[in-house]
Amino acid sequence: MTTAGSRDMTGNVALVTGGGSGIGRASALEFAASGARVVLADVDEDGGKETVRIIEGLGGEAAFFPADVTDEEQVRALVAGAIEAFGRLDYAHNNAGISGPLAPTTELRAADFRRLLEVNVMGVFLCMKYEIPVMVGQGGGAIVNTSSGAGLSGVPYLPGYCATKHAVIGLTKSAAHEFGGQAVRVNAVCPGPIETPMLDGITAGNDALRKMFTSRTPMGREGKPEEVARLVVWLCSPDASYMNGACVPVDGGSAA
Amino acid sequence: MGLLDGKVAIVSGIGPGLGRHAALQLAAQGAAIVMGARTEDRLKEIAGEIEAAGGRAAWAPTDISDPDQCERLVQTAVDAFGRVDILVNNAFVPGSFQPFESSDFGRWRKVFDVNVFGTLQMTRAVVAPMKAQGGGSIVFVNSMVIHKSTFPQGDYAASKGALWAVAREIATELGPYGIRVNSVVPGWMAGPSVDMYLAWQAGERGISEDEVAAEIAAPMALKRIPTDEECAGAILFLASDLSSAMTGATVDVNGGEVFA
Repeated sequence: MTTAGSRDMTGNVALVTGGGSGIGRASALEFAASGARVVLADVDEDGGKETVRIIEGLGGEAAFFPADVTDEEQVRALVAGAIEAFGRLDYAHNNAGISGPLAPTTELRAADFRRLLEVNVMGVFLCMKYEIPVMVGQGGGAIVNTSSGAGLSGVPYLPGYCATKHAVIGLTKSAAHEFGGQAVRVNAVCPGPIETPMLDGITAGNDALRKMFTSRTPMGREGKPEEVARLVVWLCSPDASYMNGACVPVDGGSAA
Repeated sequence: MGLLDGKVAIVSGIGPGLGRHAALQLAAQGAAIVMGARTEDRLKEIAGEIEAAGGRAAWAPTDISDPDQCERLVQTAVDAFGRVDILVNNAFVPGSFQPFESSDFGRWRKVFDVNVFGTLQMTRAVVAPMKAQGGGSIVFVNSMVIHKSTFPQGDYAASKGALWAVAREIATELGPYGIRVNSVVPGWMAGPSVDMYLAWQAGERGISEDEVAAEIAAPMALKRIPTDEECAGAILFLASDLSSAMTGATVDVNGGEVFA
């Protein structure tokens, strides 16, 4: 793979959770295209292995670990596995997440809300808990957490998703304060409507709703996963060396 | 006595909406339900719902774009319940919502891979067992997009148009074996995604959700948005022997928004 300038990540290692589809797959490909070796985690084994095949087909190096980020032991094993496979950990994109069902606050089931907290908040927390010590030990690193436009403002019928994505921003900012002094930068991306299986699931074939999502972006279109991935990899690169605790919208202008 | 006592139905594409309602309604009429979808959690949950209501259910995680997974789903039905009488082809992916002029045809091919070839793979996998049993009913879930274009989604519309045409073709071919093939064509379906749309529109335009709903329903003869349960009712009808003389038919379920 060809690499260039300060985006050259050759010799470095990136961990991407939720790497089996959508934004996670795109960021895994983008890390690989920048020369990094990539460790992918997902509960979707078929999707995760497919991402590895794509990266290997392009001449990159990747390994897939089936892992559920809600399980502390699995997250600990994932980070240990990454070190075992590739010897170090420089970047992490904590991206695994779910939208949960569409329902107003009064109708969202407690079980669905708990599941959202487990995957979207506990998952990001546990990943950072085990990634950061490795990065501190190595003398530095960069983490990007996937929040959402729904982490910046309210969205009707997604109260649980919205709450958990706000929480991701809290986790991101706290960790940025805690570890910025040890050269570990922690940032978040806040994607708007992106053409992913998650958006397919949320809009559930309702064309009008899908159109509504895009019509709320000044650019009038859905983003592509790779348009988020390029921001993720940039935030990890030396080009973003003074970015820490930032929560960056990538949404065609929706948050503006 | 149920309409489908002793029958075994495969339903592809189990999400929160139509697929779930179709599975529940077929189960309530006595069919054993075999569900295939990509999201395993959802399959487990709906299987639990069916069993809690006294029904029988089995499932296999299935991506219909993979022919082996289609075969595996049919094998799951045969292993669990010994036969396959009904296939409801509900699984689909939406289009990319890109304007035609700047469309990526690679994306169109992916939409076709699932919506057309995936559905055809799923359909082909049930032909042998249905032939051996002397008949069956296959229901294609289509979309009003084949009658009426509103949004830039050429990939989705083209895939559904192709599916509609091929369903009629297959009906001709399989009719002599007692296998019926029909299409259900839903339009708007009330449910959580419509509710979210109503809430958003109402908030943005400063009008009530009822007013937004009334605008949507204005072109419909019935002046109300049909529900996904109602649409599942049409699937049940075509799956059952109540429609035993119907094949190659297109059944619109859209509150009268378009008459085909």
